[in-house]
Amino acid sequence: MNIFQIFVKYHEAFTDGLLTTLKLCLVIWCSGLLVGALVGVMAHRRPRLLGIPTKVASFFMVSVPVLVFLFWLHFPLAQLGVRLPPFWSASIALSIVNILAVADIVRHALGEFPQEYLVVARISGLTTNQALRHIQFPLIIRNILPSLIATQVTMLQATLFASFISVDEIFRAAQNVNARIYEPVQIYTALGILFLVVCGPIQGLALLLKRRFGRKLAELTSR
Amino acid sequence: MIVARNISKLAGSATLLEGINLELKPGSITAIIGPSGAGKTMTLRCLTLVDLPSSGELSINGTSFTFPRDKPDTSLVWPKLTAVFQQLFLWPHLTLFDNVALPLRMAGRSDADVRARAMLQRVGLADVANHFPNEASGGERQRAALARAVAMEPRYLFLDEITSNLDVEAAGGVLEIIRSLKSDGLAILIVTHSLHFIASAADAIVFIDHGRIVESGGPEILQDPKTPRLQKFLSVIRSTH
Repeated sequence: MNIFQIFVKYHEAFTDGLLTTLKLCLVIWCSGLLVGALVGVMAHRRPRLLGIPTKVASFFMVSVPVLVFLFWLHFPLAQLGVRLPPFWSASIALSIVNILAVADIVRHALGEFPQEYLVVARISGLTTNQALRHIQFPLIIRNILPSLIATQVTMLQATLFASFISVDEIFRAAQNVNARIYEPVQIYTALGILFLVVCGPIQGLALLLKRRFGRKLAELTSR
Repeated sequence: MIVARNISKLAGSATLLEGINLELKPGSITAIIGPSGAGKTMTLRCLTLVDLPSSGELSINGTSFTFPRDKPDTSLVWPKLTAVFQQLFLWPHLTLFDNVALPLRMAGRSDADVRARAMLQRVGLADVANHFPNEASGGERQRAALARAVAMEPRYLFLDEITSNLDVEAAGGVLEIIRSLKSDGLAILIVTHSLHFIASAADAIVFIDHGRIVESGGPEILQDPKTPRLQKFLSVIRSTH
């Protein structure tokens, strides 16, 4: 069977898997971007209370493989009698990873932001709120958008690990199809194509934004 | 009028400024000169209230502040007192036009865009108004920063070595604009190394070294410096230009 035939014959399994992956992503992306941004801002404002703990947590998360973290959250909880559906175990574990990654990006961007842009805004007559809204916020967003998008693509790829705790996402769907027909090269190439179709445009957008804003903000980032 | 009396600035155990006395009168240019690290920029930052002095008195338009007791409400001072810093800090996500127009719009001025366009025209940037700062030359950026500051109709303008990275021609253009602002009645304080400009346009010159005013006076002090320190400084400057 070639890749196209596999897609046609098992489109239902692939579609279901892809939908589960996208549902998982939606939870991870929303929680990561919203809570992560909030944690990042708080960590910047309260460096001792929140900044140091989030730095330590980020260091921990970077050092420990995502899969191990997923197992830590899923299996010990089950042994303690807390039986979360695998989808929610994966959602929570990967959301925590994403929240910390986003918080790190936001905290770093706020910490590195040249305060002189705000000083100039204030001395030019803008109020503190106007300076935040018209100067700091747009500059920070432009600065972090490419890395935020790249992180979300990485998180999308990390959803593959959810298959290890029996979440019926796209990788597990591919595994199931492979168990039936044993065509690993074609099946996993099909999976790769699906990921390329989903991740490619997002990654392209990240590159485009990086190129577009990167040049404009060269003055900002060179400080 | 701005009157500074005995302004000092400490940072930990280091004394950055000590006993600075200055007066800025409308329609005048006061130039601050001195070697690197002498305290020129810190003087400017303290007088603009970007950094608060550790001690001393500052009177701006008749409102007096005593330091460290008073915490001035800068919104009452800015942008009638404004500054252009050495690195300019043009907002990189906005075009040169929007850099000038934004403060006017935020101030609720109905003529914001018209005035911004007129300001850019005045500094010779009408053709590049829609360029972003990274697309503009060094001289264009300097003039845009100047236009942004002046657009808000300040009475006091502080300029920190704004021509230091420009070639002679571009610097000449910027200094010509500053000269025209003086005739508009602005009180201007400029930190610069351009002796030619100071000699031809400054009404008062203040030589600072190690955070203190070593010598001050009219443009004649450039020809006839009284202190050995200023004599040495001027001879070094002249030999390198």
